Amino acid sequence: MKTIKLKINGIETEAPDRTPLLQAAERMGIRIPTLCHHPLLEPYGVCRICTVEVRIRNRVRMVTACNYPVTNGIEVFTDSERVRRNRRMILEWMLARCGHVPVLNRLAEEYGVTEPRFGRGDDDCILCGLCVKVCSEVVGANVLGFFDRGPNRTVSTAYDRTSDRCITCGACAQVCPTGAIRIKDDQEGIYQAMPMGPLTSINIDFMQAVPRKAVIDRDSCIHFKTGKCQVCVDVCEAKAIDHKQEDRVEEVEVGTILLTTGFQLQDPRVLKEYGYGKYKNIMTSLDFEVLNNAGGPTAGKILTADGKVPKSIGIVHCVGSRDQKYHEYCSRVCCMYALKFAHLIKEKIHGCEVYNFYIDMRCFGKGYEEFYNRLLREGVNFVRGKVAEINDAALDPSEEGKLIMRAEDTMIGVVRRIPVDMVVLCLAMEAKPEAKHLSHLFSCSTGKDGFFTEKHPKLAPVSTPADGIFIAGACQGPKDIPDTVAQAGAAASAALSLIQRGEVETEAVTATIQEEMCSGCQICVGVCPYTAITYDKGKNKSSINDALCKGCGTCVAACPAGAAYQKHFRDQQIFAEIDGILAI
Amino acid sequence: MLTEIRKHCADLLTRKQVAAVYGLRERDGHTAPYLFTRAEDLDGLTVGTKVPVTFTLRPAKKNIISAFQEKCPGQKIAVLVRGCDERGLYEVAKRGQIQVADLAIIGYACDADQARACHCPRPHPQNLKFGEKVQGPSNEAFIAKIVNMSVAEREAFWRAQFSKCIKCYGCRNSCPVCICKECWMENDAFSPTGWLPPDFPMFHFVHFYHLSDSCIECGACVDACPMDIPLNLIRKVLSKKVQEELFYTAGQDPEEKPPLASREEAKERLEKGI
Amino acid sequence: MSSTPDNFEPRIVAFLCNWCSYTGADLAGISRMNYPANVRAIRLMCSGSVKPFFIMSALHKGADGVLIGGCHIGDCHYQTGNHLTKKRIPITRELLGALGIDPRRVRLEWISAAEGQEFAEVIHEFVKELKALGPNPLAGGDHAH
Ligand SMILES: Cc1cc2nc3c(=O)[nH]c(=O)nc-3n(C[C@H](O)[C@H](O)[C@H](O)COP(=O)(O)OP(=O)(O)OC[C@H]3O[C@@H](n4cnc5c(N)ncnc54)[C@H](O)[C@@H]3O)c2cc1C
Ligand code: SF4
Ligand code: SF4
Ligand code: SF4
Ligand code: SF4
Ligand code: FES
Ligand code: FES
Repeated sequence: MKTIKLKINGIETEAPDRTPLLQAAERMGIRIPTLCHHPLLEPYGVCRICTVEVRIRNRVRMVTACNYPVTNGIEVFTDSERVRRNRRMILEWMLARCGHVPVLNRLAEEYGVTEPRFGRGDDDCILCGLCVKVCSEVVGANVLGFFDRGPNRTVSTAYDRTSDRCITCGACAQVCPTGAIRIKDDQEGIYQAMPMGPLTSINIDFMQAVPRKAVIDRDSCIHFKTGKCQVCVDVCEAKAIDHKQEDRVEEVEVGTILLTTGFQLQDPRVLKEYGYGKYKNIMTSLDFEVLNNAGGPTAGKILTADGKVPKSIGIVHCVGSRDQKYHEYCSRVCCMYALKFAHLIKEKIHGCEVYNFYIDMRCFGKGYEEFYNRLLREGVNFVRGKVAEINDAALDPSEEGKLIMRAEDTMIGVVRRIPVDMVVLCLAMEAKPEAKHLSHLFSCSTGKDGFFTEKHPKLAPVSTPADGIFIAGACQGPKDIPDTVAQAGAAASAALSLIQRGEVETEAVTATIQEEMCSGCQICVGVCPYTAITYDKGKNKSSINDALCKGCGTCVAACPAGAAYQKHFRDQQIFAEIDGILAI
Repeated sequence: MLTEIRKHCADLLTRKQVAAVYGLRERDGHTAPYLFTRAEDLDGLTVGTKVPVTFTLRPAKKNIISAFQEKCPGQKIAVLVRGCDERGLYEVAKRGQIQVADLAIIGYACDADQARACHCPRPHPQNLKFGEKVQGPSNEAFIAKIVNMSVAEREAFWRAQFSKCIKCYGCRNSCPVCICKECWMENDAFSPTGWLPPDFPMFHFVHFYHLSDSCIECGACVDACPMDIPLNLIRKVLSKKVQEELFYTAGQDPEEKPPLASREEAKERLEKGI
Repeated sequence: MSSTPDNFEPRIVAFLCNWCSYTGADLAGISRMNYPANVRAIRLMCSGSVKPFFIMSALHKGADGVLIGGCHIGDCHYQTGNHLTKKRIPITRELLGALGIDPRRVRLEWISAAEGQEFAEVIHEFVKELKALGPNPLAGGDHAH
């Protein structure tokens, strides 16, 4: 593009031909006030506060800098007396409509307008149109528009009704310079209104995410709703954003597989007596981790749903664990993280009463008992007993809005009633429902509790019955991070030693068909789970592909002729075994 | 009926719709399976005599149909069938021995006397062209004899019956759906050669179990048995169990896989959620 | 058969699949669960490889009971091996019954690798039942070979 010469406030400069004057001035560090201008939007030139004086071949004109294209040889004055007089006039008109809007008043002060001649109106909207334009140009939802004329001009939705085209992206409120548009939060509370999901449409999952890369949340991204926006594309200097990316299925050939698919937290809603979902200040341990996290919705502040600092918190251990109704096993980690929670609460909220309700304290690890003793010294209350019920039945006004926890304190043999501001449920770690499917996929097995079973609890704790498939972490059973890491290390080295060897030894138990005995009935073909058997029409014989055969022997038992046999499990061998064991 | 059948078959041959007609021929007082290729031979064609099923594969492990199909693949032959014949064809076809698609199946019904003599529950083929369907005798009444016995009584009964067995292998050789080359009834580890009578119930267990989902209840084994062992008593108990447990009736649906040759559950079982 | 000796100890041959039932039996052992010593296990890769002839043969050779143990349906290490087991065993039992051999002597149980307890319970129950049934009349066969 052609570059032209111009002069701004007496200083020579260059700019590409026909760039908006505002931009050319900004590049020189010259500030021109704006109200209806926004870098993401097409210039509109409606508020006129950016008015400047332009001299072209001795002709002087007043123009709006935001949409005036520069041409060769022009001379510009951005702050001349005439310009200032003009702006004062504009401000007086605007104040006549919106007398109390802070941006206008700041400008009025700057330009010495103290007593506007036309008075001060009560409106909030200065009619800059940024909201209307952002909604149509950027968001693409086209919800807002101007209505009526002259002094009655307003910005609104069609027929002034709640628009079902509004995607509640909040872009209008964001660009409004006066705060005239507010997004009403229908949902109460802070952590419940901002749950575990992403806080923005484009975000980095969490600080420790691997890989630590930003991802777009399709559900909330404006582009996937309206096809427009893509503001992020302009902003990203690395040009890394591509809205056309699709999920890809990639096939990778590997020799060993580590299953580390983890656990899930039990659904708190099944424990009706604890009122999760009914009372807003009852949360799961995982909710609490999020709330307490510096990267969380409250930036790590522990707050109740109404944004208040709690004065008392109850922590319930063993929820769903060690309970015949749910999980018989102990989830192992709850006691310790419950102590961690208590400690963090004490540290963050001075004077907060913390009650830990436990059945037994299981502080099994290195340094754990010491940590428990430290908490005793920190003044955490420990109540030995299972919480029977949590409700909001206040007995006197001081208990209004509190949660009442009832539990038998088995140490002193009385039923206690403790009102608190917040309750944390330390729920059982349970096997993921999809573990069953995975166990089929990887030919390993799951136990009664749904966790993967190891080949041998002592001798092969990270192996599975399937060669080359290893397990580690909470998918094998509830455990804490140190144990998970230790197991993962063991599993990785077991896998590495296989890789080093370069081959997996499978049991040589495949089946074979003795051709001369085969009648070609194909019964075996129909029963093989691995389609390892093919029938040769020409020969009228079936044969087994050794590489596909996994050695189940199902075909062997099905073959009426005894043509199929399984290595190491031949009929003679089985008969001999039967003879042998019946001889004793 | 016979005249019409002969005429129909002659028609098929002269119009070259089939390369041959497979049926029974009577000559010099003997009836035996025969492959008719010339219309003029059809005078010898006969039906409905008490000749055991037409398609027995033993001993050469081939019958005329499979031998023909091997030599002349793709050529059509017409086959004259009774109920049991047709069921047998379907079962051996499912086990890869013959191609049903290359057959023109012409069925005729057995009469009530014949059905009673065979204890045949379905004395008519699905491809019925000649004759009238009659109701076969009930299996329930037939098997009541052993169903009503106690376990110990059954043991005593069969011990006595099987002690008559002379191991002629007639039951096996006459069976139209028995297709194996190597036979477990001859397996020494299971029932040793030279022992007479065979150990109870090993030898017969093989016959019974192996044919449990293919036995078409033709009665050929009983007919063949020189010692009059009522093998069909067990056969029919097992067929009933296969129907109830695996929802399979041998010889019925040419498309349905035999349950013991398939990984799939019967759809009836899935529907009932059992 | 009528004179069941008081000290009759039935002998059970158990065909157990490698992945579930055998491991389950192993777990019962590792976990020090008590169960009668009447059972002798034959390990096969899958319950789908149990030929009915093995069952017949074990009974003929003097076993008082035969247990077939496989993974639960849906859990077979070989996907559908035990689907065949599920079809074959009822037919086998029916045949045995028709022949005059008490079908209660043959038991099919789905026992997972984690069900050591269940394995022990099955053995307890089976032994009890077999004691009530008395010795297998086939024992020894007709010919002592
Ligand atoms: C509230 C709470 C607090 C805790 N606090 C502590 C603590 O302070 N200290 C401590 O030591 N331990 C603590 N623990 C325990 C700790 O969370 C576990 O030990 C740890 O998470 C186990 O790690 P893992 O990798 O085995 O499983 P997970 O952390 O569950 O990770 C499993 C991963 O596998 C992925 N995945 C699952 N299925 C698939 C699939 N099919 N394909 C691909 N990926 C899949 C999941 O997305 C997940 O990323 C706490 C647990 C809870 C519930
Ligand atoms: S042993 Fe199992 S996997 Fe191998 S060919 Fe036979 S049925 Fe298929
Ligand atoms: S089942 Fe036996 S006889 Fe039939 S095709 Fe398979 S190997 Fe051959
Ligand atoms: S009745 Fe006998 S001969 Fe006929 S199909 Fe059944 S087993 Fe074979
Ligand atoms: S006894 Fe069994 S294996 Fe032998 S020929 Fe008959 S059906 Fe085949
Ligand atoms: S073997 Fe001939 S009748 Fe049984
Ligand atoms: S592996 Fe256990 S039943 Fe198939």
